[in-house]
Amino acid sequence: MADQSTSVDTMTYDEPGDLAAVRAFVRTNAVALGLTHQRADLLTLAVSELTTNTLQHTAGGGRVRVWAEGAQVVCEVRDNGAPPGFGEMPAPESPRGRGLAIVGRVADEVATLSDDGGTVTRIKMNR
Amino acid sequence: MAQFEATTSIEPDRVVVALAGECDLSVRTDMSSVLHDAVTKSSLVAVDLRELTFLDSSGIHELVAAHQAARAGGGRVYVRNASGVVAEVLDVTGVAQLLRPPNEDAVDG
Repeated sequence: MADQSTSVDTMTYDEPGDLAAVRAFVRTNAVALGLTHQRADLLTLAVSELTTNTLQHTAGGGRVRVWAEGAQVVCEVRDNGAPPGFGEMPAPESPRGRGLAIVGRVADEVATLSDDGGTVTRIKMNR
Repeated sequence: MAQFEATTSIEPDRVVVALAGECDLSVRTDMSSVLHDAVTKSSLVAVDLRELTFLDSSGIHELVAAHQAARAGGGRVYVRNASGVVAEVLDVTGVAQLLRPPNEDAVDG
């Protein structure tokens, strides 16, 4: 039986049809860990954009984990890609380039770690 | 797969596309074709988001593409009734203002 105090829930994804389940997973866990529904929705949006980025720009899928750490809920996305850049929001008329900019705008904190095995991005939301 | 539904209805002066459920990468092709059809049917297209619970950047991409196509032909696409995280993502990207309803043009400042 899992130790509740250190339990971390994990989910994998590898195709666009998995994204709805990833969002349900993140939303449910984030609310259970103490985010309001409104902030859980923002975290879910950020994770959906990041996991969509995996599917569009890397060869494989990835893995999502959610846990609480101090005053924050942390959602980690791990994939085999290069580190994503969370740039400026493009102009409203621009056809592309919004996904990662949205992550940068709605998350309280974003941290990225990269090595030969891929990239780990942690999105943090204050509880 | 995301639960997604698009219903098109034709009114005398516009076409209304009502979206329901979640709009993400998995339904991008459906979203694209329904908006493309609407833009070819009428110079004024209202996209009703009342029943839409999720919208990501791929859905926004299709809305902006429809806007560009409509504008090229002198037409217009606007969104209405967004709420919650759908309204939030439209605001954060500036697309809520780009696709504002025609009757809100006066508040432009």
